Amino acid sequence: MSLFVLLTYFVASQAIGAQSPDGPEATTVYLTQEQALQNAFPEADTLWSEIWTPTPSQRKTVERRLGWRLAEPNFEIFQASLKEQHLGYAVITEQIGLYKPITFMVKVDSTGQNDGVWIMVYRESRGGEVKRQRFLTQYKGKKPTNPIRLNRDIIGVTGATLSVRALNGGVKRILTVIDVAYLQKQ
Amino acid sequence: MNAHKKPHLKTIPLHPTSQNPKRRVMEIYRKLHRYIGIGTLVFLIILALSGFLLNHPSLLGAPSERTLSFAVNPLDTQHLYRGTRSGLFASDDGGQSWYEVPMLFAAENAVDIAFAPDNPEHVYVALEDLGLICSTDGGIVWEQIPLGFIPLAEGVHLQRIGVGANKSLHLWTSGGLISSPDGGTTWTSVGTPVQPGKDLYTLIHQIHTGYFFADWFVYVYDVAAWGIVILSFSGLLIWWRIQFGKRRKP
Repeated sequence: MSLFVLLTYFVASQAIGAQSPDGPEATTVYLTQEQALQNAFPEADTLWSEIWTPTPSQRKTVERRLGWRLAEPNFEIFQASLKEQHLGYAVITEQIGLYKPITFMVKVDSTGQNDGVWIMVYRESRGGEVKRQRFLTQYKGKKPTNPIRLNRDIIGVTGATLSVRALNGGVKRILTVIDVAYLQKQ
Repeated sequence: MNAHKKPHLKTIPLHPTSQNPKRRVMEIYRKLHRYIGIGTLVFLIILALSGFLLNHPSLLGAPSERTLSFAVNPLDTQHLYRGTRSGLFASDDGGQSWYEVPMLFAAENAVDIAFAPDNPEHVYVALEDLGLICSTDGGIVWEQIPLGFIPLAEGVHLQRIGVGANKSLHLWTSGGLISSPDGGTTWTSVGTPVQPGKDLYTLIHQIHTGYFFADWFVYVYDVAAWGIVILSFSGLLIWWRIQFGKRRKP
């Protein structure tokens, strides 16, 4: 009986709770840029950033590999080193979830594999479960050639399907950008 | 005098034997109750088994991926597109072999595909909940065409896409028709404006199939369906044993 009441409550709350864009009160800042970079490169002694503007040929390569048009004209790519040893790349990016963009940082190691994802700003009241490291650790070790798709190599979060989809797309996009910008030259 | 010993087990005769009219009515009622119960059980078993099989169409020999849309390049009849629940598939050899069209975001629920009549390199795909995507290079690079609203968020489903000459687009949705004269830069509602809806049909359908709660919840429904089947058969078995089985003599 109690299970039935619980189910009824769950269904009713989902059905009645009309979806609408959340106001600014739903925005939660989890990490500032400094904090995110500190998380990505805790041991770094040097940190720098550069703006990478893809040439038409590079843009075409990225777009063909992604099968998707790049919206950004350029990317700010952070890099870090410790005693001349390169520690990897990090990019802060945004991707629309349901209504509003999710801001997150993607770290890529020197071999082109994902080395961490951190949610920095989440702007909606629903779907924020994607910020949990239990979910985000799934991206660790992913390469640009991996599918990075829900129900293939990424297990979703109930009620946050669009946020998961946004993160999947964002992570794959950054992995491909770093690959084309830095690693294909090597 | 021989004293009759009453049996310990109380039996309920299937065939009314009592001459007492009141008892006789009760016996008929009980008999009716049993047969209606058995009929309902059979119905329940059919429902549970057919529901289980419908949730797993591959067990019926049907392809697990139902084709939602299909289109042929008018200039190259070997180049086909097929939209399914999980994505968009293409064939370059007239349908002999298929591959998923690589794109950053899966083209889930691709309900319609259309080629521009004046330039078949322009391909449009309507995704039921996620909006409209298009490729201007024959399906290699795709991009989202903004509609001015997010179908999933507004409870609107895209259903059909019509592409005219000079990039004119017409999109039939569950909330009405919208049109764009400029390839999707601006959209206007034709007739009754597109109304966001709760789409109760989809809600009830998702609750019925279990997908409402989560994709994996369908397996919970499977367990429940098999539970009903097992309970029904064990109930029938118990009834059979009570009615027709050998009883121990007291």
